[in-house]
Amino acid sequence: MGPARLHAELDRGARRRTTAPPDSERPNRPTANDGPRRAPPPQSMCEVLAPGLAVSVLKAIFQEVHVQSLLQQDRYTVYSIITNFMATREEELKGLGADFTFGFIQVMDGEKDPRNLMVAFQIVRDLIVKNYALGPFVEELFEVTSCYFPIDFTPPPNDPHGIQREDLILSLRAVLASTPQFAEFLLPLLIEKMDSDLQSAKLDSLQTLVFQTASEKVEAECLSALHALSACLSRSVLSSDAEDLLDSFLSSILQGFLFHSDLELVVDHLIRLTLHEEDSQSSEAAMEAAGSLAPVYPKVFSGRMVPRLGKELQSEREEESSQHPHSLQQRCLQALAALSTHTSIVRETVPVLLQHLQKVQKGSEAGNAQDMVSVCQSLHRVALQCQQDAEGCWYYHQAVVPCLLAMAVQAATQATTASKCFAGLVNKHPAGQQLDEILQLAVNRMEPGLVEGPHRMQALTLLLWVTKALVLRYHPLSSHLTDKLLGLLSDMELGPAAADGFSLLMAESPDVLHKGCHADVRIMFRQRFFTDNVPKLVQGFHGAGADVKANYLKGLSHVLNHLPKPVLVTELPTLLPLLLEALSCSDHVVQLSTLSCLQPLLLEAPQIMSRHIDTLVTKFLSLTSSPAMAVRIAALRCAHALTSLPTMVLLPHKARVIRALAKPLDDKKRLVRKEAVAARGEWFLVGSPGR
Amino acid sequence: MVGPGGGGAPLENANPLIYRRSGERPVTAREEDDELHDSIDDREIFDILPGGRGGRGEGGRQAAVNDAESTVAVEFTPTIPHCSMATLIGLSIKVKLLRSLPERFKMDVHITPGTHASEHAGQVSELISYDSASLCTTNENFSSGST
Repeated sequence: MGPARLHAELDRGARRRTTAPPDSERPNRPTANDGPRRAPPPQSMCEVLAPGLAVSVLKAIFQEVHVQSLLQQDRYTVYSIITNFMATREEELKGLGADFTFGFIQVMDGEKDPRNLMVAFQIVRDLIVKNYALGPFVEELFEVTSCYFPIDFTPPPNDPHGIQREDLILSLRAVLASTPQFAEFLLPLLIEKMDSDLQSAKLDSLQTLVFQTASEKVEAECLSALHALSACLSRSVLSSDAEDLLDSFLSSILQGFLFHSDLELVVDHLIRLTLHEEDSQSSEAAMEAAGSLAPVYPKVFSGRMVPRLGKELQSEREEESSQHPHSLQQRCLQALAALSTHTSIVRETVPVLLQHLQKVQKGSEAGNAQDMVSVCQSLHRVALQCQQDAEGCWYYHQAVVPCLLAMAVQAATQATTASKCFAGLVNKHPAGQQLDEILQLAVNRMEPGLVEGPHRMQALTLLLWVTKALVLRYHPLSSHLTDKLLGLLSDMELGPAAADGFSLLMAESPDVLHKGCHADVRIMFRQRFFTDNVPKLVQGFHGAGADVKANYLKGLSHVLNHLPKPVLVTELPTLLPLLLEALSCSDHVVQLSTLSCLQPLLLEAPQIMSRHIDTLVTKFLSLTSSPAMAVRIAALRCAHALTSLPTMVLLPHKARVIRALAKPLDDKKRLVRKEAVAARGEWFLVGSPGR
Repeated sequence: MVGPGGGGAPLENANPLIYRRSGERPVTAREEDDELHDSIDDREIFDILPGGRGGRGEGGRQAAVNDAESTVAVEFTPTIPHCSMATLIGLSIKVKLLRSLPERFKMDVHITPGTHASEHAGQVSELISYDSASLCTTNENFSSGST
């Protein structure tokens, strides 16, 4: 308000006249109703208006008229007066200095009508383009216009004025992008709006960004905008229709950069941000930005960024003094993976990664298992990224698969990660000769490792993961591999691990080979595995020596445990004797797995279970004194579930069960006592009326 | 007991004190440790009792348990002083405790002093003690195996 008050000294005459123009324009108003482009108000256009009067008129308007409380048409008149004066008396108006700008800011502050906004935006643009003094009011001017961004306007149906949303957008964009002085306010706003959930807000932000006149001062802002942009776009790429948006804008922005600065400079910026930025989020955003830009200008990235990252990766070991050597290396690995979005870049990054992998493997420093895992993760990401692209995929398999394979068999601590990685690839690789060759290669390497030598366990891990990968997709070779696994159950050394492996085969794996990472998983694979392999397990059990029988039972209980219950119920009569035998097995894992398998069956197949009531009661009761808490709890739950069998079957056992369950009531663990209380309470009610 | 619509007679306790149920007892890491010993506490008694899952004093009940001395005392408050179900409630609590606690526990179930009309005459508490003697016999029958 202050500056305007300084110029409040108006002589009376001028004041009287200032109220005149709106009044005298009243006769012209019918034209105002016709639309926004109506005849200009005559007096402000008058050539013979004495010098100084225009200024007095404007001062009076700024001082005396609260424009936003006028009707739309009158506000429109005010804007028209200003427009006309700006057209005819530019010199005089400029004499007012920044007060003119400030006065106008107050006039338009709060304007809501689209017709008026069109004119107001044009005035702001003229203020800037024709070099009116903005003085200290740059931010205010920005605020008073940018508050409409992004434009939210839907023309009413049958609108006679013909103003479209697009008109307002273009008009506002012309204002916001008209001066570098706005850049420092505009860019943060754009970055913020780019994160908007509204597709239209995003689009508008991006377009405005492209039209923003970049200047030296705002280059850093531009770069951070770029990062935010790519991060935000890579998020929205999840919906495929946004992909075109990403491509077109990245290229147009890049073209913009080629005008203003050098593309190589941008890449250098990205490298610096990737490696040395304190904030890891910004660093990651820079990697993602690089990854998004790389397919557009692959040469610059493979020529500049990849060698640089490779160099950092190698030199890192010597810089023991640096504060975060580990995170720097991690970043290099991450960035290499993020960058691998184009075939020609993949050809550069993969050798670097493999070279590093081999170096880490040979090295003996502590923590190199962790490094190994990082490299494998990067390789995994590359694999995911080049799935779309046949050429990249082919190259990847040529280069990476044999190398991983060699490692999976040799390496000790990293075996699991490497095996998982390989399994993920094998699962997704399209069927055909190439896959068969890869698998043959794997089997040829694996089988000798399984038979003897110091790496039998690693070979088994690889066998398990490859088998899982193939079982999931019904690959014909899977039966060969499961037979191999079944054979190992009778192995003194590997038998228990092979038995536990059945759990791995059947369970959902949290990190690889599940639907979430687009693995090829057939929905009936568990049933199919059951049908194919359980007869073999049962047969193997009967033929096995006493010392390895437990392995077959363990494997069986793992398979049954993961099987849908309806399937299990139909197969129950043949399996039940074996399950009961498993309860006598001394292995806690077998006991637990069998108990959790039996408990739902007691509820779902009471008739079949009733036939074995004697054995069930005896086994469950004896397991309630197991040293393992989990087994005691499971046994008590089963004893509880027994009460859902027919009363006639239960009554002969009631007294014995109630007596036996008195003991776990005094168990040292509360969780066991809780189950005992519930089970015993239910057994007391067996045979009572109303139950 | 006087129910609504009971010939227009006023309710004896139109607005009884109702206690909120507390949720399932959370399982602590300590309780999952196979090695450690969890002693029986008051909350465990509440979880055993009918309509259980209470905190201290829920449903007008109080319980004090001493695992080391193998004693438990439960005190309950009938909703109205003339509650004819008081004996039955007391016996139910007693039976539930007998079935759910180890045999070593000595149990005492009684009405909160001053909350029941016939309590001063000792009728209800006596009944509970008397009946629980025969209940114990039943329980022992199970223990000795002769149903």
